[in-house]
Amino acid sequence: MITSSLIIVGVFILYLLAIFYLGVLAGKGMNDNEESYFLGNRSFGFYSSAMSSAATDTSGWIFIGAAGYAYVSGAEFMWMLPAYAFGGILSWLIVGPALRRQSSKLGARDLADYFEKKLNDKTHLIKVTATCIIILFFIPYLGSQLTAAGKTMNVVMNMDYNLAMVITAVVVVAYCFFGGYRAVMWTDTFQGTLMILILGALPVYLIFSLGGWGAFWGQLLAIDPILGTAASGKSGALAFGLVFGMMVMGLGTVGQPQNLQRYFTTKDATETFYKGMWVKAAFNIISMTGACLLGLAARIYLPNLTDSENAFPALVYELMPPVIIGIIIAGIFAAIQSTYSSQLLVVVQSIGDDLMKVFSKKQRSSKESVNLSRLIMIGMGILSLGLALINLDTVFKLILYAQSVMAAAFGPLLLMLLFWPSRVNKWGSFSGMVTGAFVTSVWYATGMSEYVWEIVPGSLSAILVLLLVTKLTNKKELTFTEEKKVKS
Amino acid sequence: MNQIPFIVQALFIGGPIFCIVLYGISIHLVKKHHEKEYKEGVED
Repeated sequence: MITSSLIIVGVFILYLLAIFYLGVLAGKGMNDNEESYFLGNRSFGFYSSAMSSAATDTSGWIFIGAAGYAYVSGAEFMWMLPAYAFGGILSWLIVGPALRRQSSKLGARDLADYFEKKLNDKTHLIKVTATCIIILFFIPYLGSQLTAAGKTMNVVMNMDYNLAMVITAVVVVAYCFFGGYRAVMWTDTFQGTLMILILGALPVYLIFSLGGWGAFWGQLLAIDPILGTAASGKSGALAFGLVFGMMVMGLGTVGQPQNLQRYFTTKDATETFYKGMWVKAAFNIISMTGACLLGLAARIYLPNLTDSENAFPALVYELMPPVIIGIIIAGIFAAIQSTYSSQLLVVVQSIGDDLMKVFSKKQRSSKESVNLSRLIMIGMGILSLGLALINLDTVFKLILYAQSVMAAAFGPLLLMLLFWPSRVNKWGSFSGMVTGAFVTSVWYATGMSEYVWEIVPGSLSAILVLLLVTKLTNKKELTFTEEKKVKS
Repeated sequence: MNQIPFIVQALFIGGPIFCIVLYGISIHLVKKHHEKEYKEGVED
């Protein structure tokens, strides 16, 4: 028993060292300027861009939440697959190339910067508003990633909850500190590949162990026939509502700043996206199907779990040898770390590269700005760790709908600026962003999300207000940037 | 295999196939659209 635990811990420590080394190595090829630190000189190919985007998008949810959902609801979970395919195509193939092309021409380094430059907003109103929304919702989000790491390590390794959170924060902040965006991309690519190997191989092994596809389903249906239905046994309008709600979920991927950042940094606006789409497609199909099958396999092996979210960790612990457990724990950790590191860099860039340049009158060299951003990174690491350790309930309620707020506040505005910029002005953009965030929050807080997912009213109200205010305010203020005049 | 409900087969086998076709068609259409844009010299 002690030997097993030592092997698991040993494999896990090896993984942490490998990730840290990879991050530091990424930093060695980097110049000390902002373009390099925040964008990696816009040089990333299709595999790293797509894999990193997919890993960031998925987070620890795929191992914990998704497997837990399938454990309870069964085949119904598979509606997520086409839902995320539609969302992925809209985000990666439609938004991605346009954002890459336009941001490069404008010289924009992140989403808030793109909004400002596209609208030619000299007052910085749009940048400050977008940045404040990102900071307000992302800092608790960072804390929540640490909490997820703490809970997972506590369940699967019996590691102290607080110690696990400290380790996660220290490792991620350390490699981001040295390697900036390049470190995030390199480690994300490695972590995404590890995740996909686990989610691809483990279900196949388990299904064969249970006697094949037919025997697998035979055992599941004997436990609960509902597991083999399309909508948890519901029919008619209820089933339609459930399936429709799941299909809309994929659209939430548009507007997430940590994911959109990948589009600023690909090496081109064409081939990287075409080839990368296949990487994202493989990731989506393997991860969603794999997580669902793992949840269902857990239902066969461990039918009486009290907390369905423990399905995957408990299954691994029950069946696997120590070395494999160590690798799988590393995979879960990888999923959490990849999201934490991407969000951390977005927050640091929002403060160091966006807000500081608006409010600080001091002229800094590129190197000084990077060093300042590194200090902010340490500060954000400590702050998020502090939030996670204090575990303030009110703060963590923010993250329950943070993704919806981002999608409603930024998604409609981004689509309009990319494809119909002449219909948007500064005041319309400001009002649309604030309305999207506000309506989403109120909808969630009043419990209406039980009937309609908050992202739907949030996005609809944002787009309506955006168009209306643009129409009502002075037409002469329609100042979307004439990009030809801006040096790329 | 006969015991497996049709919807299960549709979701687990048909779902991934549907997605692969969807991804393929989307890539093809977007590629063609971009090529047309570049030929016509469309500016953002």
